[in-house]
Amino acid sequence: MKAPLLRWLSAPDLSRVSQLQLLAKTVVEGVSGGLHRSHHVGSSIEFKEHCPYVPGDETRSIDWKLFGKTDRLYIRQYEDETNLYCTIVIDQSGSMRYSGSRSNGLSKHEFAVRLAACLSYLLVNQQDAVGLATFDSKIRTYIPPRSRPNHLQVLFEAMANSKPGNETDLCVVLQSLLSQCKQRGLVFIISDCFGDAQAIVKSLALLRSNHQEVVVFQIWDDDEIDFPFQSRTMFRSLEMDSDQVMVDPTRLRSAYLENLGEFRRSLQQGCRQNRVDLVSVCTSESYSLVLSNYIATRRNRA
Amino acid sequence: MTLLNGLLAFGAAAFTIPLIIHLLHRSRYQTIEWGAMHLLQSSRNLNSRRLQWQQILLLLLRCALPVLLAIAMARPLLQSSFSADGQYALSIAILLDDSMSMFATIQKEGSVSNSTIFSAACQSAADILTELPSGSNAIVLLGGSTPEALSGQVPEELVLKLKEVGDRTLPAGEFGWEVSVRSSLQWLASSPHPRRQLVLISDFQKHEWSNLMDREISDVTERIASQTVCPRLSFVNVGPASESLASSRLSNLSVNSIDVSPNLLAVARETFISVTLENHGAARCDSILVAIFVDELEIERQEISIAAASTAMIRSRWSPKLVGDHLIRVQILRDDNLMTDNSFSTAVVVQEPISILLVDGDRRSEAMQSETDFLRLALSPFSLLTGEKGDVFNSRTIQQHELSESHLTNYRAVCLCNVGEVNDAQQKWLRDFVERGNGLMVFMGDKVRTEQYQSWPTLANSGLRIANFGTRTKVQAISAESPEWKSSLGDDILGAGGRIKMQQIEFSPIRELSSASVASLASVRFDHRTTITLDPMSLTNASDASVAMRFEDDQAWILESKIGKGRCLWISTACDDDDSNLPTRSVYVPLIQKLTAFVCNAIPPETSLLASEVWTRRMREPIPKAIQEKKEVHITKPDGKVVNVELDDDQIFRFGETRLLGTYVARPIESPKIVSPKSIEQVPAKDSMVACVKTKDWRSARESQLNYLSSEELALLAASCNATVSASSRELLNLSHTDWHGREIWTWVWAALVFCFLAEMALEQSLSPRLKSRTAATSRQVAQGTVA
Repeated sequence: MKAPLLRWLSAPDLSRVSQLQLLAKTVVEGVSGGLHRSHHVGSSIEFKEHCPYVPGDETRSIDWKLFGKTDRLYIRQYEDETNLYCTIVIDQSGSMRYSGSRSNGLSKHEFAVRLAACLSYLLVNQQDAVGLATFDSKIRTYIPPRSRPNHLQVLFEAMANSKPGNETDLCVVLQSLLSQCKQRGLVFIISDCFGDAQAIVKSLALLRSNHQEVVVFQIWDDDEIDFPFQSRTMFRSLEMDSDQVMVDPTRLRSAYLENLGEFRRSLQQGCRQNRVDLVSVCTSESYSLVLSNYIATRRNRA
Repeated sequence: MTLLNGLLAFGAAAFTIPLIIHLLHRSRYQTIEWGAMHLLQSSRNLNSRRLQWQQILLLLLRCALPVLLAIAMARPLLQSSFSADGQYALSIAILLDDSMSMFATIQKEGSVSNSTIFSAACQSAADILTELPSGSNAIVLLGGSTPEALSGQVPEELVLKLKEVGDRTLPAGEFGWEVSVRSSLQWLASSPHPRRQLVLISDFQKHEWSNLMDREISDVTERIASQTVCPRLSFVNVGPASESLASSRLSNLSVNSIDVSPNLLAVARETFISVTLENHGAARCDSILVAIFVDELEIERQEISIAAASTAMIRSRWSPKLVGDHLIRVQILRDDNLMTDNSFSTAVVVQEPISILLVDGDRRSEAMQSETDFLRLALSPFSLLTGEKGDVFNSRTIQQHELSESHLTNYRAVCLCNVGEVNDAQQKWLRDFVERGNGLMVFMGDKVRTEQYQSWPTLANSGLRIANFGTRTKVQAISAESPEWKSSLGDDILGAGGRIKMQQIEFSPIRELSSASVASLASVRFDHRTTITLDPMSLTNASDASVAMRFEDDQAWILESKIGKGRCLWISTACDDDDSNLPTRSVYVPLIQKLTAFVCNAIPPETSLLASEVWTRRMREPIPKAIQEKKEVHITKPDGKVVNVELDDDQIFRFGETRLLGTYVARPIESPKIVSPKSIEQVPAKDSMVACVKTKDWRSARESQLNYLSSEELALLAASCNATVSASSRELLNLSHTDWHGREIWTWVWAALVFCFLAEMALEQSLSPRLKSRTAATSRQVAQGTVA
């Protein structure tokens, strides 16, 4: 049996991901050196800026040379660079089990796991600490962030062991995640985000207010986007066995698409207001390419 | 409401098809395990109730489509008092069978009455015409080999005409089914109304209809079907109900034929009249009185008994006293079911004796040794053998040197019999003689100097010669022993040159002598002949001369040529018994008489015609001066009407209105005069010319067989013609009443059908996904909320 890493990440994926560099947009709080800005400032090697002296500042930090030139008191500030605490949250609810005809045989959950694997590989490679949480109606697995290289194996094992099923409640999960993520960091949520859009947005806002940068990868199957069904169909819920409806898809299609559009629109709007990155991803796309595109977009925005 | 095509209404059961499809469709579905139930659930709640109603409406519309289609094709008619306003006028063609069987007096139940089936048919036609919706137009055609339309533009006029025609007792020829239908369809094609009907009123006599070939029926059916507006075909059976009469043959006596012998009649010549009678019934008929009339004067009455379903013959003698046309009529003096065939007529022509000049080239004093002795005997057998009158020909014999121009003025034909030479003057006289319309027969023989004949001027050079003359030769025998032809073995041993070629005789005057009978040319054997070969160089036109008869080795026996108005025959053998056994055979007399009559233009004219056949006749000489000036004759038809007919330059008239069976009399009188057929005896036989029109199969008298198609046979016939059958005009009227007077509402049903179809399409369109035609990209945009 191949190692999980090799099972999920192909050579092109690895090659593509190895060249990426994910930078946190916000100041993060790490314990070791890294690529990301730390909220700690003071004496260091990296000069940041001159600030006007106010009473209470340490006099030793006054830049006397500048005082000589300008006759004003400025202090010199240095910034620290540290590593990132990143938590990847994977939805393993029943709805993630859906696999359409155009998804290259991948269910949404399998796609999410592969995306998470790529992300983990990327972050660990740049010395960041990566943690993992899987959830359905509550958090099922939680692995605190670590930056050791062998931690990647732990993460992959956990991902491999996650099985989709049960109902989902993303709001409860995000609220419980607050207690787990006490340090500033980055939270990747990989989910289809099915549920009440307003409640989800509120939960994301709560997480955001806890000094977490939040990126949501919303996983879709193409069938869920364009609803291509023609003949009479019994739709049976992947999360609740008792929930099933017999419909003529051709009759319902337009209403479904309008509902879908409304759902996505409200989710996008809420995420934008709370400065949460919402990335819609289809399972027919390449996960490594999705990741590289996102990182490129993110860099351009910065 | 009535459905004109009720069977098609059963097509409404097709409404079950969309119903079954709907139910099957409901029972078939796929199952998908789906995650985004929250998006689906709300949509379903929004649409399910409305969709359910729309589905039911769509199902109802789809079920209504076949139902409406079936009803529309069944042609529903709304019958009510306000709809019978006659606004639906139609065109109707009524075909009336007026063949002989229609003049039977049997009624439908088999009883005998005074009125004929034909009069009942006329009454039926009148009933139909009376009931027609106002504004309709109609035609009544009397079917026959030539259909005759009753004159009249509107049904009321036709009803009056039908009453006149119904009293008629004269039948027409056989019912011409194909030609009558064709004429009717031509009229219907030009009629203004879209609704058209063709009604055939007939007794459906068995022999007429059962003999119709399938091809004739299918041709007519196809012709009807190929009309732009296809008329409805209906049969009205006015004949007796055949079921009750099928087991018994209806009693009927008929005179089938009258045969007169001999063919060439002369004054005072005893003539034999043979009459064939037939009893078509199942019972023997005894003591039947049969009267024979000549020119409506009874010459004999005989009593005869005829067994059931058999024929009998009676014979009578008659000696003509006057030259001219005579009418021989035989009448059965007994009433039966069909009186029309109890009387039968035929016309004969009695000619004046024709003078023939015989030129003998080998005159001898001994009896029957001269060249012309046999010939004279053949031409005038009665006067020479019994001393009685009655010969068609008078002959006089002269020698070769006696032939002068003055001799030729009193004769109709000249026979040169074994004449050695003919000098130039004689040749010129003979040429002029023939050109004037007389005849010349030249018999070869041992005295003939063929080299002198070969020197005669040719036909092209105003002479008489049309052939090259060879030597006289003896016919080669097959065996080396060559016995005499008179021996008992001679007939079998003589070669092909000794027998006449009997196959494919095209020479019409003696064609009947080729049949196997006592008087047949087949028994004639020749042992000498003079070789004569038709010389094309001697002719101006190739059609002026031909080989009329040949020996079996294809050598010419008789050559025929036309010179001016006359004819000339060249016979390569002698007319006595020097060259053949011909004079000793019974065929000799009729052969010589027919050849002589032919060259004299004395063949009796045809006096028996088939119905609708053109009567062609040359006026008899001498032609009255009044006719020469006016150039017309007056022909009295069997129904008493007189028609003026023009003569052409050759004094020949042609008359085609011969569809009625009976006697037609051409009278050279100046003023037209309606003459009853029974007053023919008042017309001097010398002046009038008579022809009798008969049915095609008059000898077998099939029209006299009173049996009819059974109901099943008639139903089969009607089915093959796509026709309806009615037992009476009332039944037909009841059938047609709804069609004529009902309000056709099928157009409204068609409109409803179209409406349902459009509604179904619109509903189907509205129920189909609105974005079905949009691209996946657009769908994705909608799903992402970027497109409303």
